[in-house]
Amino acid sequence: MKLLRTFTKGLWEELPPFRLVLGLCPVLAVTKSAETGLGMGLAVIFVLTCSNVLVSCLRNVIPRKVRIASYIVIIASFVVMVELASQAFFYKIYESLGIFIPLIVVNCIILGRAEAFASRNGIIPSALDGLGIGLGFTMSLTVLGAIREILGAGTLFGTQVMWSSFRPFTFMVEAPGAFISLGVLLALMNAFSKTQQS
Amino acid sequence: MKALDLTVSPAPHCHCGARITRVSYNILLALIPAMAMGFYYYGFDALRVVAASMGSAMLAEAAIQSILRKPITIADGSAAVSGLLLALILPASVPLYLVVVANFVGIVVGKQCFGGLGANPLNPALVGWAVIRITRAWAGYLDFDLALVNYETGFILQYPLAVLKAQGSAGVAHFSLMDLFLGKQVGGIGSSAIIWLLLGGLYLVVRGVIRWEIPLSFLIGVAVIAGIFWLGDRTSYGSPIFNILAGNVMIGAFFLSTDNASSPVNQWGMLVFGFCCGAMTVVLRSWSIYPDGVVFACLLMNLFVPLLDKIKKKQPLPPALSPVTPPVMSKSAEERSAS
Amino acid sequence: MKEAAHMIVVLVIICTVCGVALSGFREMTAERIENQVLMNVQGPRVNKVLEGSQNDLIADRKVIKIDGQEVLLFMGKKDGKPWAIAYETLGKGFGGDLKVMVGYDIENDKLTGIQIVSHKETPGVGSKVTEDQFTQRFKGIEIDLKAEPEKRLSKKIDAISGATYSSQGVYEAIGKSLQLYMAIKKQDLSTK
Repeated sequence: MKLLRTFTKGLWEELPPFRLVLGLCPVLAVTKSAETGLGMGLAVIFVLTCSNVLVSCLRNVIPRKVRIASYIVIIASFVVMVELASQAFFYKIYESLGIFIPLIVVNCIILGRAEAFASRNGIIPSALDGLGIGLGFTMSLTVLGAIREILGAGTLFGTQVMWSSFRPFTFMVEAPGAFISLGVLLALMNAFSKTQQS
Repeated sequence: MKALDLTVSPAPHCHCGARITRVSYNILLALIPAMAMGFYYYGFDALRVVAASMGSAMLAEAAIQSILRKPITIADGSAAVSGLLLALILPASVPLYLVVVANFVGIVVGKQCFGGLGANPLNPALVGWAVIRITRAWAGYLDFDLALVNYETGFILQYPLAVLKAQGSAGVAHFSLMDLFLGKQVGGIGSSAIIWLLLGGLYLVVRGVIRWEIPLSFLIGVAVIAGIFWLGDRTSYGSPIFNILAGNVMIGAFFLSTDNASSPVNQWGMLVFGFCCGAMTVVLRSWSIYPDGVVFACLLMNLFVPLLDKIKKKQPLPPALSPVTPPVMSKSAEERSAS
Repeated sequence: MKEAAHMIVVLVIICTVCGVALSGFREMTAERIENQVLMNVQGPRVNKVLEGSQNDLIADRKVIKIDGQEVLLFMGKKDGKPWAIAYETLGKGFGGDLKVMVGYDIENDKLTGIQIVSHKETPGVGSKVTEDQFTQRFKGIEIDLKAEPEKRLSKKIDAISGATYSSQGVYEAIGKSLQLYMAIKKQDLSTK
């Protein structure tokens, strides 16, 4: 039961970009379309789960004073692996994500989970925590990407969903559109959870 | 220095009559001549845009306020002013959904998200305009040369600033400055009626609705910086007078930059604010990809307002003169200042 | 002292293990990545640009040196004889660099076509330059090598409305490509 909660808390209570408001840089930058959002999310799931497991394995070996340096080395290795793998097997997504795959290294969600959870818990809870948080991150990115893609380009996962004479509101796929749509989504989620509480 | 001897009587107090409604309706009144010129030149199309813009601005305000369960304040006219200002800087042929989107983004994101009237750091009309301007799929609708090609107006159907940008000052030689001044130029529905905007603006200054500092320093800023550019290279930049009479400068100086919530509160702040708006306008006209820079200049300077408000600190009242002090103390203060 | 030694040892071990693992992984994927780039990026474009060639275009690629810069040249052959070449150049679009593959019919000095290899333009607006509707306009245009740089193409190509900057980026890339073409032609004529 407790393990299940470790997994599900990432899906709503600690939903990374909206609840923890962490890792906003990729959230703003790669959600130009649902596809890139999903691709980024999957990369983060992999890195987060693997680094959580490894950090949890080594938690009794790593001296406290150099823990952050060790975590960064571990995370960076997984990120480079993701980069090479995506380049080798999913070239299209690799191209559209560009610089943001290497930047996963400095995504504070990953270091945050390593420091706050994996360094204090066993291997199985750490893996579940990484999976849950990563899945929540992926969901958020995909939803935000879908909203921006539909309004800003009239498509969803590359297929036309709006009527053919639709002149896309390209503001949404620009940088300012990212800030505004993230803010509006955040406000809606806060309003929703407020009504749920009362 | 002798301190003023002010006394504040206990309640009841008398209200001088200044309220938001009066400010808004005075601005609307001052804009009527410019709007009428738009109707005269562009007919029903202009009427359509103005009605849709004011309507959607008020609707957006009412909608967001009812969702947020706040008192609905569309009757104070501030949303109507934003809507009208936005309409006046748009071309008459713009599709209505564009106007509606601009107003909703302007009012909801630019104004109500920050806490409504008085708390908005940016002018909502300008936010709305900027959003549709940087939407590249729609940029063609806002290009005056393309948008107004089908109208019979009796004057040259070329946007002076676009011509200046493309051909340099030789290209604009055939625009008579008098025509520009009288509003016989391509531009927004109301923003091209220079003389009527000037008169409306002066009316507002005289009535005390807006302060004279911002418009004056705005125009000076345009003139000075345009003069520097012009003296440096007369073939590619317009003269200061041309820069003042073409495009959005007049509406910007009197109406867009003077929005109460998004302009500084003290005199030096206002002067610097206006001058920088004017200067940025000319810089953007000269170096950016946009033919006119008034809106972006005003938005940029709006962001500096909190900083400009710090230029001159408010002088706190001397303790002896604060309203709660009993009269005995005030007398002793007088003696002290006299000695 | 013991603590410091412990820290150093642990960090060194972690770094070494990670480094070895990564270099191994890189070794494993290197070949696939190179193939992916050729297949996904240049392959489809080269095949389109040099349509009608009978050889395997990717296999027949070679790197040549012109004015100190290396150019990856694809050569199309008909009946065993080279008839067309293609290579990439860069132009500046709205969002960043536009990589354009331009193909030339070396016998008749004509464009065989262009393709956009990579771009960072806005989806739905600037990205229209990658669509056939735009790229087909360049097919079969004759080149006047002696003319001024702006007038080397015999026909004027209209920009896409709303995507002026992206279109200009494509023109810029083609302009650079034409510059290279003259140099390549000289080299080819001298060697053959």
